[in-house]
Amino acid sequence: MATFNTMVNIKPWNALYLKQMFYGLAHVSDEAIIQGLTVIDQEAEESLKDPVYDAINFYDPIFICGGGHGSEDAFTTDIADVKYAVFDVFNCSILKDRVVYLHSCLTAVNLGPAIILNGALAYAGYNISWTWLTENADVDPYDLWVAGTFFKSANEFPIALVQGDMVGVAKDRCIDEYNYWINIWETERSSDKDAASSIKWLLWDRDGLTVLGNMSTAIVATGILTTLTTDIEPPVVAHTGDIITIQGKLLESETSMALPGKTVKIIQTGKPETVAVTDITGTWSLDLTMDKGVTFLYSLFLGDEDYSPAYGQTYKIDVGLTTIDVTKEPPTHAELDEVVYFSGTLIDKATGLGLPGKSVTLEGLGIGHTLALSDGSGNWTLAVSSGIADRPRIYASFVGDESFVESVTESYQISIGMLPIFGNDIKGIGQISGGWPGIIIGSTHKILEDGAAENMVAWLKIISALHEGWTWEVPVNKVKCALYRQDDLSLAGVTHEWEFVPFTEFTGEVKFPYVDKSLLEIDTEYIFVIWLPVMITFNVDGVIGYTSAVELFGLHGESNLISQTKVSYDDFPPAFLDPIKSPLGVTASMFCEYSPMVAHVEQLVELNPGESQPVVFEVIPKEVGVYHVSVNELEGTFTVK
Amino acid sequence: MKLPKGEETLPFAEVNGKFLTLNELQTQYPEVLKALLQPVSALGAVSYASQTSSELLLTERFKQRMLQGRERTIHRVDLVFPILTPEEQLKHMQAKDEIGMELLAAERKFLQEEIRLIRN
Repeated sequence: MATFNTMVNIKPWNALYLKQMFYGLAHVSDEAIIQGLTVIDQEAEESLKDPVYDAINFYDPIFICGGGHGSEDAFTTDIADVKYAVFDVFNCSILKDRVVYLHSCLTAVNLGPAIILNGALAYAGYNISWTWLTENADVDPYDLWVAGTFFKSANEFPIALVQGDMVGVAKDRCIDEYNYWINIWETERSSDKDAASSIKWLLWDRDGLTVLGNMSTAIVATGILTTLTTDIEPPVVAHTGDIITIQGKLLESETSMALPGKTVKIIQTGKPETVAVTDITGTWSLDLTMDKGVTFLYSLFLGDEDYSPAYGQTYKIDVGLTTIDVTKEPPTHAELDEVVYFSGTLIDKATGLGLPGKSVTLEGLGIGHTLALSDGSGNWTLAVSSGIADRPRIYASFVGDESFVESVTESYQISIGMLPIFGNDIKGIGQISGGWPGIIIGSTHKILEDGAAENMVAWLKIISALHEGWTWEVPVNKVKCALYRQDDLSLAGVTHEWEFVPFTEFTGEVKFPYVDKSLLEIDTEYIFVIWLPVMITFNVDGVIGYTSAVELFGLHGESNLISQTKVSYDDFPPAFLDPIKSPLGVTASMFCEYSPMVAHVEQLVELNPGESQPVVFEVIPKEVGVYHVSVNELEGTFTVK
Repeated sequence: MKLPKGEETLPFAEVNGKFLTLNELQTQYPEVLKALLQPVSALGAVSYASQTSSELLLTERFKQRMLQGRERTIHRVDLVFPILTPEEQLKHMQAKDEIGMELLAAERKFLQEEIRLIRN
């Protein structure tokens, strides 16, 4: 359990327009110190993620108060314009067992719920862009009339907490404070030129305040400190309808003396509070019926006139969860109307055993669902077939029932009646418009079987005009692609050219046939690159200019990185030399069509007339069906079931 | 409680495609104003404002308030647009982009508050 009466206050300084936030939050620290709390101010550079985490780990504060820039998913103190999240939806487990207040924009949308799901006691923040007016953005807002009304309103929430109020009361006090200042603007200050705008934004901020979690939580402990232990912990997984027991003791922290006759609450997400009364040994115990889904629960003693509140550990229980293991992936390709198979096992996560008798459906084929019923071991097999040439992404789905939660497999792309591909075929993704005619960028992709490269397909955009008054000579009106191996950066294949008419608007897929059908090796990463004319613009001291060049673009290494090496158009470098990397945050629609290749095995047998010798080939069939075998002019078949 | 000074000069409602101030509404369409000021539930007031306050009306109200020097640069603890001058706010409202829609929503909320003030 986190330490009562202790808070970390995250106060960025020079970050984008946050100076006034720094001064505003200082008033919260001042009040906390007056109230006798231990306050750890994380100021300026100390407000970045690593020092904040160090402080939380060292002091284990119950209250995290912070000001900064926010988005729906992240809270950041972006010193020097670096957008560096302190907490985001994927990294907020450090806030478990704490009360969190983020004076920031939008974090109540996704980050706040994520903080609660990660076990925080309570969260408060805003689901809108928190907005304020100020006469001077560089001074303490409490010294200003207009800005003061905004910061005094917002600060009422953390100030109520450090003064000992519970979260629910702090919320009410904060809204009352907003209303107080709105009322001032609507009465004695209604003739002020800032009245209308101030009312508008105070209303906006007030209605954006969002408080989640347990409203009974307080951060200040008065009286004798108490501890809630958990001696019988709930299980990590359970079945729907299971009755689980949670049991512990309420003790004086210093003496470990039992506290009988006290009420302990169990707070469980999505369910009403349940209560237990401690016995002569301070023991409390509760039996809880589990509902389907993920639930969080913890114990709480609210405190009384003699004893401080205490919070027990937070537990996460997965109830009725399932997973689907894939035992046989669908093939990468199939002929029109050919039936291929996709198999797996539906598993009860609580026992790790297969779930029998459940319906599993095939999704993504676009022509209705195929259904399979899991057998006694939870195994299922789905038949995949279509008469429509397409490259759907298919997956198997268990939709869940009254006891078990839904689950799906990962998706697999299958080319039906078309060549299989590897790469990214989502049209339009990664295209760059504006002053960059015809550029796409690629990414590194792995091929899952042996093959021969047939075509590169890319989504291209040619713009029709540049900025007004600019001119540009097209150095080359041709585009072509190539393929490099990731491991040694060697050239694996080059395509034919595609010619375009400069500044004739075009958006769409272009197919580039390979000059030679390069052999592609299973489980190997390849880099897709494209040669195309590029316009480079620059801005020096306000003078905008441009140059033009032909460059080699492709992706090297991690996803979402563009590699850029200047080469002349007709130069095919033997290796992809030391590319420059710069993050662009997009991936391109570019993929390689290939012909699958079956492993070729040969044995040479020399026989004299009248002699014979058995010949054995090892074949590992990848799917059910009839296989054709030929040895010279001798032919036969075998069937795999 | 009363309307902030200057608000009485702004268009308050749109009737038959025409923007009217509160006084004009009172003179030309007293029945509309009467309906507006009848004691109705808060939900009813919101409903009225939503139906009558078109984005064009809201933008015009902001523009006139700006020209009267009653709009300030706003600061936001937002990653993308941390600061917006009144002129920038107006452009976003006219463009009805993501930021503009937020600004319009704030203006609409304020108009609802003004209706509440008049009713009281």
